[in-house]
Amino acid sequence: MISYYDPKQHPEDKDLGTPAVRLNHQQSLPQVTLEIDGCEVTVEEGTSVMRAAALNNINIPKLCASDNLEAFGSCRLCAVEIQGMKGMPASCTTPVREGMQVTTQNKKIAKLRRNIMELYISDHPLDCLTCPSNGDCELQDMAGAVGLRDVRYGFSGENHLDAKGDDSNPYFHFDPSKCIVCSRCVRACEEVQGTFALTLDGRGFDSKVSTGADNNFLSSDCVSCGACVQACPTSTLMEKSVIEQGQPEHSVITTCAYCGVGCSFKAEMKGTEVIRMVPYKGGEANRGHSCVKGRFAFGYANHKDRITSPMIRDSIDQPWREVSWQEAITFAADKLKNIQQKYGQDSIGGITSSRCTNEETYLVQKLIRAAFGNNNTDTCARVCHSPTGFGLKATLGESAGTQTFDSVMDADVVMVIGANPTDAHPVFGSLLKKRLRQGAGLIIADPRRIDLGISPHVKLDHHLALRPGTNVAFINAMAYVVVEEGLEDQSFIDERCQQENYQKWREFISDSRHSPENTADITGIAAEELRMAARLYAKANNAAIYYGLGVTEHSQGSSMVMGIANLALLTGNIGRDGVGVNPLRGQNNVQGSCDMGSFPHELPGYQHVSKDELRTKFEQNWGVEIDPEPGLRIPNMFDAAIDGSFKGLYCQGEDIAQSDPNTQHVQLALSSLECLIVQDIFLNETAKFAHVFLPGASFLEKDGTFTNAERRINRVRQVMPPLSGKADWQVTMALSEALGYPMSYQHPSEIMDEIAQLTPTFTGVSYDKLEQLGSIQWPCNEQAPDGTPIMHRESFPIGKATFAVTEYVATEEKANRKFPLLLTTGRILSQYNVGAQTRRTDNQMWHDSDVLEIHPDDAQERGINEGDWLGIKSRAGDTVLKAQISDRMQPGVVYTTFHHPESGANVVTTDNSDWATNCPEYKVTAVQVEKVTSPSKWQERNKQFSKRQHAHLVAAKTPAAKAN
Amino acid sequence: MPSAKVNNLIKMVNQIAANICFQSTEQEAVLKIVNHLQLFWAKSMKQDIIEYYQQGGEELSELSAQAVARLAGQ
Repeated sequence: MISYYDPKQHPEDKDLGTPAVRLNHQQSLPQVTLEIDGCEVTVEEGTSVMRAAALNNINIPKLCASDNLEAFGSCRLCAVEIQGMKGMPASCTTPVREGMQVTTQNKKIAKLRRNIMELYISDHPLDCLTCPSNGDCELQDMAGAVGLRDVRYGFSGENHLDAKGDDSNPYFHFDPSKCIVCSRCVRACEEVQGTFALTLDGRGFDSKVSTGADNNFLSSDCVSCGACVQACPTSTLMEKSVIEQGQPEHSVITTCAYCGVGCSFKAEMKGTEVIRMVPYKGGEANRGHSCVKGRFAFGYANHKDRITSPMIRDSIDQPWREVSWQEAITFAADKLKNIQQKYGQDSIGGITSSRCTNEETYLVQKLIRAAFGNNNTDTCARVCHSPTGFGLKATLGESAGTQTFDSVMDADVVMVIGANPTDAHPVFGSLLKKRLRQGAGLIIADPRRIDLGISPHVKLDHHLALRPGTNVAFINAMAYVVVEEGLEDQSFIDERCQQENYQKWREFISDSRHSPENTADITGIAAEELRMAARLYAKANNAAIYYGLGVTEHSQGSSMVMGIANLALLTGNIGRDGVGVNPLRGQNNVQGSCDMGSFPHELPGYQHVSKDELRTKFEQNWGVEIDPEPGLRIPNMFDAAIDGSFKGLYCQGEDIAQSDPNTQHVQLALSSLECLIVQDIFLNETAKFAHVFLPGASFLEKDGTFTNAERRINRVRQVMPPLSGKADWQVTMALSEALGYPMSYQHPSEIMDEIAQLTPTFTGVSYDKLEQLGSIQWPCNEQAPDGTPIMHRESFPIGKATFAVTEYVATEEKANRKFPLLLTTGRILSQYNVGAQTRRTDNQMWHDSDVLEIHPDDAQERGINEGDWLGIKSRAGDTVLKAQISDRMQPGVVYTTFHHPESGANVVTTDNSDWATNCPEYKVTAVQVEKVTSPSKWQERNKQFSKRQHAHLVAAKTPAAKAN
Repeated sequence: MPSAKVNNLIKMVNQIAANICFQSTEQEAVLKIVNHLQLFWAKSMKQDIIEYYQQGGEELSELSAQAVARLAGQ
């Protein structure tokens, strides 16, 4: 079912010229009534005349105005007459007043507008018929609207028609000959994206849009978010896809499948071909903004590497055979049944995907619990945010972040801990930067210097450059200062928190071992700096914490999450706009995959599998008995595989061979399986160990929902048929049926209906309601029929919140003489996770290999120069990467990303993990680094292995293999 | 010599004990560890660690050993 986008149904898509007075409508503003062209109009105080008119469908011509930018008033095309005011003021920069009488059109105004347009057009090429923006050009529209018929000046005078273009960006072209210098691109770069890569050079007639001295778009600070392209009213900045393919003819609103921000996009289409992705203004997570991944990096969906036929083989040293869906499913089911017969019911399991939809994830865990008959289900959240689920449930009573993204606009102080929002959650990063430019305080706790702290017009109050692995000592010291200096919010604690528990915690935290002075040697943070940061956070009216994997991926990840919750509770920063505990989730649907019961101990909605009354509900609905014991987590599955008791795995949309730590251990585990079923869009690293390959569908090829980091359930809508003929949920159904447990859903909406029946936080969710509301933040039930943007306003799901005792326990992964440096890993803007998608796009131009960032002191000590090959050796393994000398890290700390499989970043990371959830300690690995001349042994081996596997894939395509 | 799998379980339970024991009496700490194992560990993992404990359990920390003993009794 393809739902076409109809602009008439989406009035929010119209450009109203200037922004709403307030982003999130939390406060109600006084209303003002005025008259426009004789019609009485009532709007919020502070609204521009232009917007007031547009809201009432009086559309004043405009060129430099757009409602995602502050009013600028440069083109003067929007001039109007206002009784009692001199001349013809610009309607975009004139706020409404009570009783105002506005005339938007008369002969005088019309003449002025025509004169303005005439000047613009006298320096504009008249190649409209062959221009890429033909059909979508505001300049053309305005020329039409004002009735321009003649250009008296002629075209022979001085002009910009020969201005040289810039083709350096892979996704868009810059053609300054078509520029009208409205500066919308420059302002979008500043106001929307916050990068300030563009500027207007020169004055008067010489003014031109520039990427700065001697830069082109690619070499400048531009992050290729595309806000400028979207803002451009002409074809000066234009997507290359539109230049090549022409204007799209219909569009479908859907949700991005990259990070946990969950941006809404209009997929603009020609037939079943995506021409461009345009961020959708009505999307409440992104409000019309996007990043380079979501807007531009969608070409992977049609990449030649896509595998669209099911394949099977008996062992991994054999070539693949392309087979029918039925043959592949039967083959897989028979193998799984045989394994269970031979090794027992618990000898198989599955991994749900944090990239697939809620409905698909729900089905995979249901398949495992109902058809496999065990609880051996887990998901990639195990290796990223499992401590968030554990820690927030233990303290606040719900396994999710507390706020909306918009809430940050009410924050007075923001503390970012172990997160890199401008790279990993770019659209939220831009919103955060906007608030910081308005003056909110900023504390960053991170071993590395991140871009957020050095953004233009952002003042970083405190960078607490703590040593990797000392988070809990740091957060305890923060709480210690708050308690010692009497900065806690006593009334919040009295009213909203469990008292006995608080007293116990207070006794614990008041011990001087937690003082900044006594922990400075552990954390490396100067005591006075930490005290100032604690005061800034505690004294703010609204203080918000945003955190990422730098918090969770530690041996004390869960303790740190609880420590963060403690601090927020202690200072009363929970339960209203502008505050909260905000985990920035990694993958598009990692919140959803957790909500949907992917963990081995929890049924959907975090309902523990051992609780009879909860389990019975599912048993009755599903018509099976469910094992009351938790199942294996991913690392336990690996251990059991190597030990010989775990033999079969169904892995949907995760590349565990690349993303999980200690690659050699993972590879050994995968090679020990008798049946590995991989369902993916590419033959990823994991699939090289597989016996069954079931082709997956990209987010463009199916219906469903994703849940983002703010608990927002967003619709994913099919824009093209699945290349393989089946959406992922249909494949899971087929496998389930072959295993003797038939499922009968006709559409993902029916799966959501079942989820709503069984999950108390989802009872009000349905596709119909999603159509009505656009998106829903769970909990959505009888108490909150439209969802819950801000959690814990009145009370906590557990009644009163719980303070958790979080003692600092040093990790066992310590630097020593043999391994003197600490390696920490992270992400980069242009690539996404294991890179399977982004590596198959032009995003490669920004980051085509992973490098090792090393501090100049550490480099000098080892005689390392920029670009040298470096061997990185840990207790788990070694790999070779190129050196990048960088002072972003403190001495003693090195950094890399894991976007390219050949880098082997996870060959180096160890099995150490969080005490409560087994989330791997990616952020702390003791290593030695030295110059080398050849790749590591693992890299050589892996290269050979990958080559063989590629040959096995090629063989599947040859007629000989097919004949067999 | 325990298998790699059991070695990991030993490490895990000792780590749980080391993180969970603060601001609690010994009795409370043991209960918290048992509760954690009950809630989050698969049956086979519980069986493996109990078996290891019953064979001597040398690598278990004192609290872990008490907790596993209690788990075995349940």
